[in-house]
Order: sequence, then structure tokens, then C-alpha cells
Amino acid sequence: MARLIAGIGASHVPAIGAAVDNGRTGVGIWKPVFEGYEPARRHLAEQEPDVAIVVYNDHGSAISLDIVPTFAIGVAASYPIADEGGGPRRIPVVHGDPELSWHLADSLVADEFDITACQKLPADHGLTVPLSILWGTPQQWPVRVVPLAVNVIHDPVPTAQRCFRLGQAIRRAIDAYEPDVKVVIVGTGGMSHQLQGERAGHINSEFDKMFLEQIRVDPVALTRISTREYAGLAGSEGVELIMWLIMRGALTEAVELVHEDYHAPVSMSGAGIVVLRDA
Amino acid sequence: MDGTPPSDGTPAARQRQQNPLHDNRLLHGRGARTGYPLNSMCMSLNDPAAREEFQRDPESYMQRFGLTERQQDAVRRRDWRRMSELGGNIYFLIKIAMLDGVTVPELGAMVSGTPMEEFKAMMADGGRTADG
Repeated sequence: MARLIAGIGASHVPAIGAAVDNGRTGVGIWKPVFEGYEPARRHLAEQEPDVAIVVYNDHGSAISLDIVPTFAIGVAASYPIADEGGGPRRIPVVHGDPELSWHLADSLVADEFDITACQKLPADHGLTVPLSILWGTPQQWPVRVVPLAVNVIHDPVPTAQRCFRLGQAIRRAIDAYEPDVKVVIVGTGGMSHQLQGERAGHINSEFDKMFLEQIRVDPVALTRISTREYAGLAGSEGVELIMWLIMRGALTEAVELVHEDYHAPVSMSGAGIVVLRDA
Repeated sequence: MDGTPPSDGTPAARQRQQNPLHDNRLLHGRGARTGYPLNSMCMSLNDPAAREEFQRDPESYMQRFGLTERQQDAVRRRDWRRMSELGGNIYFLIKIAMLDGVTVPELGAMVSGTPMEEFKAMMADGGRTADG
């Protein structure tokens, strides 16, 4: 039977991907940031997951404003790297896991969640930057990927509570999956940042640190924060943090902390990483 | 609509109390209605051939996507702040900016009306705080 062996929260700031692509991970501000990723990489190298469910938001790469799904699961065998306006990142193609993808879609819809199944879903930086963070620069990604794209950029956005409950439903789906695969779930985005309007440049490290603690010890408290409040506290783009709650909902009520780290600013964002597992 | 939830003494609740809730127009109608033609045009720039066409004949390109006169004017002048006010979402506007070699932080400075040097200093110092 499938086992969920870790839940990870990680920022997907494009500049992090650029640092990897340009070989600058040991330079200047990047050095401490990437040193902070090392324990997470080591943990995954030891644990050897087979598949990663990566929860992220597309940023106008694969999903246009013509049709905006709230929760979209990639069901393809592979996902080409998206051209986001400046050519695709030169990283290995992302291989999917259609069997697990369809199982998740079936299970979640039966569990009364509304899921859009995507046969075609080019991989945006929201998905690929966390892969670079967690697995570096391999010739091939050592995991299959099930992309779970969440709309957090276009009103109406799902609630934090809905996200947490979706995570719980994902756990039920994983527990019912017969093949003996080791699964990790990665919630991506954030942390606090605002890229537009008068408050462009907003970062709230106090909020981010509170979030990092609460996601471990009291995620339900984080589900009580409305998306409007997330925008007020963590910046309009900081609303992405609700996707970490999908990850957290999939873990047991009590969790163990494997690793966490935080740096701000990273480009225009607070950048955090947390690795959790069932207690 | 006050939007202030009851306090339950948790760290999350204390955070809510400490920071003013900025009225964030940006969360509403972000790309939803007014911005749709502008954001759709930006999205089309994911295709390299489209990027070339836009640079070759921007006027026809904008008209094809049905941008309003004001949106066309803002794009023509590269008035990022105005584009944002007219419904342009950062993730879509950045695709025009990339063609000009403008980075996300530079865009952030421009849409917030902050001089670039001041913006860089602010970010190096940990970002814009809750009170601006």
C-alpha cells in the first residue's frame, strides 16, 4: 500500500530557480539559503520517495484566464517545461504518474471535492523551482510527479480551510492506493510577498515565522485566517501560503519536525522551507 | 464589512490584531473583468512567435486582443502602474516586461511608485513593513 512519508513546505520564487540555473547557489545571499536546503535534500536522498505530489499555482504559463480551475490535477505521463515568456528553464522534463493521478482524481471527487483533470499541463516555475530546491540538478528527476495546481491568483480563491480539508482527502486517497509506493507531498509558494500595487515589496517575517510554527503545531488556527486576511498580512501574493495547508492536511494531527529554515528577503519574498512527517 | 474575526488567543489571532487590514483591491477583480483582454494578451506572449509579432506590430496585436484604449495607451507608454490599475496582474504583465529586460523587483518599484534606489535599499533591509 502507498505510504505518505513526508510533507514539505517550500517557496517557489523564480530567482531561486535562476540561482540554480546560473550556478550561483554558493554565491552571496544564496549561500545561506542553499545551505538551508541541504538537510531537506539529504532527508529525501535517504528516504527515496517514488512520487511527489507537488501543490503549486500556475503563473499564467499553462492555465490562461479563459478557464480557471480551482483545483487541477495533472494526469499526464509527462509535463514539458513551460515557456513563461523568456524561454523554458533548461531542466529535465517532469515525468508524471498517471495511475496515481487518476486514483487521486477518482478518490477526491468521490470524497466530494471538485477536481479538474488536465491531460496537458506545462510545468511552470511554481512546480519546477521546488524540484530544483529538493533535488538539485540531476540528469533526470528521481521522482515521478503529480502536479496539483491551485488557483490563488484570480478571484475567487479557495479558502484556507478548504485547502486543509483537501489535504485530508488526499491522505485518505493515498492510504487507499494499493501499489507499494512512497509518496511525499510538497506545498509550495510564499512566503509573505507582494509584487503589485502600492505595497509592492511587502514582506512580513513575523507572520512567516508564526506560520512556520503554527503549520506544525496548530494548522487549524491557520485555516481560520481568511484569504483577505492572508493578503493583508502576508501580501497579495502571500495568499499562496494556503497551499501549504493542503500539504499539512495530508499529514497526521501530530507531526515531527525534520527540518526548517527561513530567509528574507529572497528576491522580493520571505523564503521558507519546512520538512515534516507523521508523528 | 469589518472582517475582524473574534480573538481566540492563538498566535495567528495575535498576528491578525497587530497588523492593520489593508483594503486590498488587488484581490478583487485581479484579472477578473477589466484586466481580461490585457492579461490574455500577455499570456499569449508565452509563445516565441507571438513575442516577435508583438514587438513587430504592437498596435495590431493589442487591437486583436481587444484591449481598451486606456490599456493600449498604458502598454504603449509602458506605464506599469497604470496597467496594474487597469486590471493587469503582475504574473501576466511581467511577460511584456521581460521583452524590455525589466525584472520583477524593478516592476515592483515602478508599480508602487517607489524610486528604484529606495526600493532596492528597502528590500535589502527586509522588505516593506506593514505600515508602508
